[in-house]
Amino acid sequence: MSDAKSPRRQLEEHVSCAVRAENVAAHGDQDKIMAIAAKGPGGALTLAGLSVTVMLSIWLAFFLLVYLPRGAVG
Amino acid sequence: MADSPQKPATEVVDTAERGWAYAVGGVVAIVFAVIVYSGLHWAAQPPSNVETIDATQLHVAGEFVEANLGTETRPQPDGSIIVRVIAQQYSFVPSCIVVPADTPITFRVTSPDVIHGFLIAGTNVNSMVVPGFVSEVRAQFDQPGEHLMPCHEYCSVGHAGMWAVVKVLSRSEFNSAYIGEERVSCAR
Repeated sequence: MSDAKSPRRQLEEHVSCAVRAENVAAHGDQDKIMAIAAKGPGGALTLAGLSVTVMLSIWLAFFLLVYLPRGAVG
Repeated sequence: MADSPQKPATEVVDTAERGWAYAVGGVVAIVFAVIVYSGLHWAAQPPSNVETIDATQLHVAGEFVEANLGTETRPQPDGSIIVRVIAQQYSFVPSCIVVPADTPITFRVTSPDVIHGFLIAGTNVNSMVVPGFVSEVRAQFDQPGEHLMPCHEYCSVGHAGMWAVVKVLSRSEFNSAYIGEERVSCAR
């Protein structure tokens, strides 16, 4: 009888390095994480809002300053 | 420090995500509203003429025989002027198109071989030219000048050298230069 574990057993016991403590940012315990989340995603909203504003402004600028002055086609 | 009553994290995130969804919906609505308004108010639309033609007979008979290409100087009943062009590997015929300014122009373009692109730089004229179909694009040039007209659909090895020029003359200059001629290009 061999000591080698079955592939299924190996898979069940495998721990990905992605979840090891040294590879995960230290956010503290679950309560602390929820306290951070409860403050709202202000940074994400600011970044996304700025990005969309810049994109929409460029689109409108092309529409108003390039497309319209060139005249209608059909 | 006394803890202020705080909403639970799930509610905060839910509110933020719903708010962002409304914001993105608003942006999409603005873009659609601008497109629909300009389309209806300005009658702007993508050139979408569906008119078939026998691509194997273009040079032999019909509207696109060589003598009929170029700018037709006699205006149509609606005041527009028709320009007929053939796009072929690897040139436009005629390769220099001359049109009057401040006049509605109707470009009719077709191809005997493969798909080409019809684009006049500095204008909104932009259409595909598909063998077996006639592309029709209406436009008007406000200012005299020259516009590059490159093929913008890759049409094989000579594509990069396939381009033409649209020369816009003032109406008076056009009328005096081509008086008495039925169809003209830069080469007359």
